[in-house]
Amino acid sequence: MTTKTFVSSEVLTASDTNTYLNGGGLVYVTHYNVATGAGINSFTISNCFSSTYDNYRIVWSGKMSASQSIRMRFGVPGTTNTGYYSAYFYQSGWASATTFGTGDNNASAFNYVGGGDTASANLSLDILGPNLAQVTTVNGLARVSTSNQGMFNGILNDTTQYTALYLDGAGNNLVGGQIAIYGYRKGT
Amino acid sequence: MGKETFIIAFIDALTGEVEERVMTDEEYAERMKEIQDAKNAE
Repeated sequence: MTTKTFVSSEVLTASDTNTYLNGGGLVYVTHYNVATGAGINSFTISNCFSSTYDNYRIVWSGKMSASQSIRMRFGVPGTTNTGYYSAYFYQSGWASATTFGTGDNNASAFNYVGGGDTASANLSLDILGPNLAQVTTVNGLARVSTSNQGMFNGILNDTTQYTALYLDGAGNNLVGGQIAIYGYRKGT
Repeated sequence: MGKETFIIAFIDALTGEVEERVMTDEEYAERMKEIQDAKNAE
């Protein structure tokens, strides 16, 4: 995509708007301001995936109510299908550079997608193809407790075309911050 | 079932509607069933 430098008092035409402004790559879809204080135990974002975008990005910076990971599922809450497979490689304990590995094996959720502790917590993931009739892939960087941080890659091994996302604090709460979902604009 | 309480949020990206509720685990299970039933009826 080309860029254009606008000058003071220049008329912003429809053509320029369509070319340079609407042609951005990452497009806001929705957000949720997580409550401070006690925080939120779980939440569901419905209608956040559609055929408009194939791939999405979700980011959040806040805190957890305890040193804890965040769980992720696709579909409305109560959806209990299995088929979640993942690998999580991480450094642990702030005592050694040695890395460790764990993951999900036909689980009912992704269990290592993010988290942190009462001082800081994050979520930073790409979600690939949730609304396509193919396997959904999720990858990103995940801190899952005070001193466990690493890389996450997972697939949900079904071809369901999901429109909703479910997240929870695995028994603890997400506190504060804004969760935002963006779509990667497709070329025409 | 016990009486554990949950703070739950439901966000609709299409309408922007946000629902935040404090629920017991029984209420939570009931709400989940409502959502699942509505989804199944689509």
